Amino acid sequence: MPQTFKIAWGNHCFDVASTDVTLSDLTAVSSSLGASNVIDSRVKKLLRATTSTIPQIRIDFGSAKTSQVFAVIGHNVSGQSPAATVRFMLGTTAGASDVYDSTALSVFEVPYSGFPKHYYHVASASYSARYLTVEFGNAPATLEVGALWASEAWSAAMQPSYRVQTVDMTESDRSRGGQVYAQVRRKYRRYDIRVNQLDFTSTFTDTLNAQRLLLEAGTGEPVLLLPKTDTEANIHRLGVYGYISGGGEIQHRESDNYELALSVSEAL
Amino acid sequence: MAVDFDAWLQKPSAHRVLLAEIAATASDDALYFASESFNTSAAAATLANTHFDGRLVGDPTFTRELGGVFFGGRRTTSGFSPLEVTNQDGGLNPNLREDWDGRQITLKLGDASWDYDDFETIMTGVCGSIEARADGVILIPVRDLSRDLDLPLPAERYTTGDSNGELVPIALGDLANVEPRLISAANLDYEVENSAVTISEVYDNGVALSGSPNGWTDLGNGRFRLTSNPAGRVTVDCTGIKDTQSPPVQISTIGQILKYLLTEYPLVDGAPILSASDIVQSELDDLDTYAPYTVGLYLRNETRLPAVLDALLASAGGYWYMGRDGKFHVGVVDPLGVTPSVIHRLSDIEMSGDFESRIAGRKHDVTRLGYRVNWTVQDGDALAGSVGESRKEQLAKEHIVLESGTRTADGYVPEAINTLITDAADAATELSHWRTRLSSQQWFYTTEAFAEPQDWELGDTIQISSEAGVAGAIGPINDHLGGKLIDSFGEPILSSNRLLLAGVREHLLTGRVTLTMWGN
Repeated sequence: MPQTFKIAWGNHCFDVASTDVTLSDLTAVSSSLGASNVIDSRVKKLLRATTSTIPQIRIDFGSAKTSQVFAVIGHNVSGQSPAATVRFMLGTTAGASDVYDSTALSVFEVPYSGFPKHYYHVASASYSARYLTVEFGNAPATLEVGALWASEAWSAAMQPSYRVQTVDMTESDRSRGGQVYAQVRRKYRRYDIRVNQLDFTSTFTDTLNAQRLLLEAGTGEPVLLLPKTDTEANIHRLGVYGYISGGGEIQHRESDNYELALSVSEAL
Repeated sequence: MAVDFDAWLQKPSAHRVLLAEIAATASDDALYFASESFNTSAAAATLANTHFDGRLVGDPTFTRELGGVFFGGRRTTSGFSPLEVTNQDGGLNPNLREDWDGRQITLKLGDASWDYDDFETIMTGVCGSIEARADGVILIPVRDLSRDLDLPLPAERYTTGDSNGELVPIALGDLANVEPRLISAANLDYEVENSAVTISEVYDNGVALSGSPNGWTDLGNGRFRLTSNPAGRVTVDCTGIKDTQSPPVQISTIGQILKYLLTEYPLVDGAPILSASDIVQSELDDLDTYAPYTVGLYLRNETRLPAVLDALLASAGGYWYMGRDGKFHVGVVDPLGVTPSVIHRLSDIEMSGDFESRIAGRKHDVTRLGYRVNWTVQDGDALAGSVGESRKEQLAKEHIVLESGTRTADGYVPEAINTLITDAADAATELSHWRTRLSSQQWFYTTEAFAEPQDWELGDTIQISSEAGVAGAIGPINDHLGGKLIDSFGEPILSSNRLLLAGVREHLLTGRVTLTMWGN
């Protein structure tokens, strides 16, 4: 059975300057909700822009960067009929698709209300290019995008075991009379992941990648966690954009057998 | 869709979001923070399409405490807990070098699902000097606007004449024995105030000059001229200025003087400190209805505006504060027993064991009140020989003192409560108010309860009652105490008691309210 688990970090979009982001057929409604917000990791710090014929967001990485996983974080496009589409393109010039073209992909509508919506795309291989273009079809008159993502991804040789729980940080207390005092906060998902039998084949590649993940992303850089990428439904029902929030350890179980344990909490 | 803010506040499960808007300066942009990230819509009437960064952390509280003579003599205070703004990502590092002190800050409260227009402003204030903690949290002190009122008074000085550089006095209300400025020694010209006042008598060393050989002439506009050199100290009885309304109204009550000093007197660069919309006229009217006293205030030497406001309100058992809305508010400590306009009923007290009590000063066996200020206290021996003994005695004291109650051998005789009241009948009325307040032992009670924030005003009346509203019984939470709510001295607090809200701390994001109540 193919191992479809992927975790991505090192988003190239977060490494560029605001001048490297340009809009085509999109007009930002204000400087506060301007184009530079798509290279900010905060989900609700939005680009809000009015759309015209072929809305595109273009990012110049400055030099060729390798990517396999792409995402539109915190969007407001609809997956309902007619489904909006998102097209990821990599090129050697701005707006070009000569390196990679995902073609227009119908947005998958996740049936969770009250949560930010993300659209993830996993290319069949990694591609290296300097220019990323994200194009929207059937876009609303006012498009909102929290952030864009383009990076490599690590897929462990072994499918991990994991559990997902909904964390409700709402603080509540109850008086003797029964009255509830509550400070309501948003709920989010947390994955506790355990990947064992890393490098059982003595290649050591997975353990090194696990170390890279922990060292490069740590707890301060966002990650994309896609536990099952076999179908569009599984990608979007299970995928989260968040941060490593716990665990983060690699244990040597026995010769050539390492285990990675970490938790990823969804960012809102 | 318009929202019902009050109904929303009553929901314990409301998803409350606090917004903080820090105004731009000439060199720095405005800053927008929230207890969780928030974007205003394109349709918002103001501040459309704006991102509020979800950086506010902690448990923001808003605290107000009643001041004045009943409450330790301190000033009525209000203040937000320092806003805690997380900067662990360093995103605000460039802002740390900005000027924060004195920047206006507006705090709004609303639901996470609402648009910006539906949020309610809960406080308008100013930022203090920030502190960047080692844990990546920036503390922003938030002050109410009372600091803006801390200005010297009088504000004007003479620029010519023999009083060049001295303060120009302000004469308000009914005044006795005030000392004017000598503005021309050559002409023997004096000035009580640099606008029209009614001078009823001039004294030389305590001797009335009208009809005497050394008479005086009214020059108008607050000035008069002596016809010959005075033998000693020159003082005046007068009625102070009128306001700037059309037609001008004689200023004589506490409410009128407050309004004049705040919205008409040129306190800052030739302009008033507040506009008419910055005060609550109905509260001043209520104050003058409750305490319709003629008072007098003569400001000749430098003082501070808050001290003047304190003195005026103390003459009616009142208090003042700058409200969350950025407006100047006044109120009075109504003698208990008067039907209050607002009665809060505590729906639920969290911990009856935490119903703490402490004595609010000592009970008065007699209450003494000073009135009719003698603005120039003069030693009887230095007065002219023709001054009668009773007037000598009067001029040697700062106030006339009224007393109510019965002195006992070991009873407590407190200092007189000095007021600016000028009329004996008014003073007797005010003294009766004080007797009502202080002739029985008063207490401070403190408890914590669930009650919607923003619903409390200092001076509100609170009545402890049962869930069913049955007098004499207390709500079901106290069943374990035999149906009685007891204070920390073990004494029952009767549901018939009316307490006055003397302090409140509102936890804005939880609906938890800590109340300090005053009464018996």
